[in-house]
Amino acid sequence: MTDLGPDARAFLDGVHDGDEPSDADAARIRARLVLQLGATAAVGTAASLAAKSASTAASAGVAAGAGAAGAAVGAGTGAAVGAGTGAAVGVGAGASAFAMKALLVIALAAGTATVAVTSIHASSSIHASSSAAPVAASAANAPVPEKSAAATTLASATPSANGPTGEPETGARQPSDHSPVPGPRSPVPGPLVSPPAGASPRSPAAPPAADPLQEESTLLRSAHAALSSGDAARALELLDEHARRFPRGVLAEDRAAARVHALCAAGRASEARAASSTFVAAHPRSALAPSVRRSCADSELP
Amino acid sequence: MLDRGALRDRGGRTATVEAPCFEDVYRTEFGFVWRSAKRLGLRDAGLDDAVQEVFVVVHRRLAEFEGRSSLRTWLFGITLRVVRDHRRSARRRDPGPPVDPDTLRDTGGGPAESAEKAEAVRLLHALLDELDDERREVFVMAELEQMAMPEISEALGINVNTAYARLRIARQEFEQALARHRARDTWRLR
Repeated sequence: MTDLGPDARAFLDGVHDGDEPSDADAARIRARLVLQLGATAAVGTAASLAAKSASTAASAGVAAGAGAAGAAVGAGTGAAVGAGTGAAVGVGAGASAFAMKALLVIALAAGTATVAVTSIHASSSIHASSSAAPVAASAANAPVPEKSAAATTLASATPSANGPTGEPETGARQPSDHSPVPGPRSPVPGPLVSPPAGASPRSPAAPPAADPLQEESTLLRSAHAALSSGDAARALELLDEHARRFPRGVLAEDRAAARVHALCAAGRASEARAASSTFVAAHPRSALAPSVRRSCADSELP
Repeated sequence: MLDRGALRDRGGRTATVEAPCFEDVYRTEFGFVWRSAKRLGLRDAGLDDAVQEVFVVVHRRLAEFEGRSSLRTWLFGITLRVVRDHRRSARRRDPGPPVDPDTLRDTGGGPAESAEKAEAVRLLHALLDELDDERREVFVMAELEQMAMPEISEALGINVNTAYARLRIARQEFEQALARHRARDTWRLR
């Protein structure tokens, strides 16, 4: 087969590392993942199958002081079981406002993806909670049958799941293909902006300032919860608090969108329109722009 | 208790027994998923959404990953499906208002990147845009990610000969597109 010519080859060599995510990209996606995994926790109903694994994961989350963790494994409905103390803090209808896709089978609360992931990992492989030291006692002491039940649930929860695209799986994997993958051509930067969850135990009620990203997420989720429960004033307070504490936070865009909705809910339509215009001008291609445009502000103006 | 460090080291390579944990996969493979989705044609909000979605799927399905294929192959398979889905829905939707590329938020490389480099990357994307989706997928994996053809065909779910055929055509088209671009530049400078 003919290879690329030298000119094209040289060109590609010059740009092969030109598409790396910036730190801001990494932080933004990370924050949204955390938010989504948390926000999904209140979507859907609990699946009975999930109860056991959920309680295991929840105890892990609580022990880690993560605030609250309900992890549920269910049949693709985004099942959630809030368990333990203060579970599922203020998660909820924010999901739609955030244009999030409620795909999750595994739901976590309090933005501690790692904790619950670790728990789930523990479920399937008895890889017990290595990242969440305080968890060890509760999670490791969980009876083994629970873990295998969780593993079974996890496995059975997605027999037909082909990802959100609904496309068929790619062809059968070749068992013989164990050849090592060529490494990436450039070192992958460590994109995580937050320390692993569980690294800093904290009280569920008042998380200290150890992890700004998690605080941002918690604040916004609380604002969304207030909004979805009809308390627009409270939502605005929380959004103002977010703006005060994280003026340039990674979720500033999400905050601005939520503010439009909150102003609408508070009946402050003219302010909502102004906020909407500002938002759309600042983030013309934001995934949140359509929902902002559809709000009471209903503004197409730049 | 397993040492997470051991798992971490396996990041992009063939996983054998244990499924790697999500946090490790995210840390080691975020860049791969990001640049792959970008080179497959997603931008801005669509890129954000797709990358987020890929990791949601990874999160949900990691336990199913059994190391029969490499982590990269598995990840690329997921990324491809998500990206294709986004491309389809983007084509169904009305195109948004035209946006001046200069006003877009930075989705390029690091902050220290030179204007010249940024220009070259924009050109890369423009040239890739000229390829049809199937050829583009093979080209990106083979020429930019340096993945092996058996892996590529596996991730795409196609015969390896088909993958080679696509790559051959993609290379020709890419070279021609690059040559056209260079020729136009010359012409403009006169």
